[in-house]
Amino acid sequence: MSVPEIFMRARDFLLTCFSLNVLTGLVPAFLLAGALAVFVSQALVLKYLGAKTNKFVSYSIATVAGIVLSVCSCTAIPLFAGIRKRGAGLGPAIAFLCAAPALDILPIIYTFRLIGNQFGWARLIGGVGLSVILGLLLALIFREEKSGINADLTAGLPQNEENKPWWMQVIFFGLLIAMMILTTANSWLISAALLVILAVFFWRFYTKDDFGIWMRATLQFVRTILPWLLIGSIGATLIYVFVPTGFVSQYAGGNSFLSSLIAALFGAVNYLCPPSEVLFTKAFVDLGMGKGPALAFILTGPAVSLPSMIVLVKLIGLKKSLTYIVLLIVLATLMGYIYGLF
Amino acid sequence: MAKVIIKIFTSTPTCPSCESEEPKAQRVAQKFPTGAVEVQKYESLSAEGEKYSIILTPAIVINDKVVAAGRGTAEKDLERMVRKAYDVKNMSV
Repeated sequence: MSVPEIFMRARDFLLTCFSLNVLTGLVPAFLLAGALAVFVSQALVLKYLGAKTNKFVSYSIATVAGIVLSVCSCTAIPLFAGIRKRGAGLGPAIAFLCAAPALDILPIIYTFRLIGNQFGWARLIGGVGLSVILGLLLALIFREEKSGINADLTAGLPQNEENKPWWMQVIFFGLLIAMMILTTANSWLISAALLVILAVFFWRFYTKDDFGIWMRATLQFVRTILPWLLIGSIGATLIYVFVPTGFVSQYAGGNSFLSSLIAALFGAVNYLCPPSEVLFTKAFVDLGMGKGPALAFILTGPAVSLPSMIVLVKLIGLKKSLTYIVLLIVLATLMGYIYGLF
Repeated sequence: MAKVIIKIFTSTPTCPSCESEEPKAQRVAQKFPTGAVEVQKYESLSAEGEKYSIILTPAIVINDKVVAAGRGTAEKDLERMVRKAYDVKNMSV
């Protein structure tokens, strides 16, 4: 390729990564992530996470908890340890461990905007399915099927949490989510209207301190995500420009089981800080990776990392950790393959 | 002298938001008389973390009371909390 061609390809790819449609989804997404982190009661979520309930509720809460409790992605490990230690819940603890990085709000929204709605749903549903099945399987294999935890997980929280009334939260989050879904490159009017309604509602019912806390949490997300967004886009652009199309489609093209497996393994081996896995997946898809393998890749990419695996081994031992990783790869492959059939 | 002890809990692996809590606490500590406020840093999964049932990070404990968990704290809010603890300690001495 000639130098101008290289630049053109790079520019085209970068423009896609930072297109107006993508950016207009990201801004509300950051605000939503910040709001979830500060306005949803941690104590409430932890109370339900530790309660002695039936399997369905346990696993559901464990899967969703990550979205609310993981302001900092690093909190997944201590929370996992806490759930595990204070009860017998290996299953829900594993479900949480997998769900926390898999259902990270920002990368999910970015996936919808950058790669497409169908793939976004596949990632979301795949992430939930993966977490729950992994939890159930590990609990089954290691005979720790007690899914009720029955422990007070709120002990390590500040005791003076103030919460807004539930209807206020519902309206607030409803507006925020609507704004995020409806803000696209073409819908300025609706978005502006929603923003005004949201601003007025917030000004009326929330305090200045609330606003400060919310903005700080949002900025925290931006500070964590933005560097990886930039690094990921550089890496993904390099891949897009220099990796031959034939190479990708040979090993991960189409939707065969083998392609999905290769993609899943490749994702597991690489540690991808969110949201860079979305960018890399986009690059591979544009180079000819099948949608099934792409799903397998995006599911394993952020899930496994060397530092967290080392800590995991210390917490649950080598045998369980290896089982976790192997099953994760196998299940991600299966999900990719099944998705590829649609 | 009555002391205020700030304990910061972070995780392994860690993240930038967690790592910025200790320097923040140090800056707050310097606003008080020398030696009045001490900053200690611990791993969330350590015995010290277990003492306070820490499961969300970053977490901050001031004089054995958990004041923040799972969220970063604004420096001015941290200073306010430390000052409150400092005043309480010095009144009871």
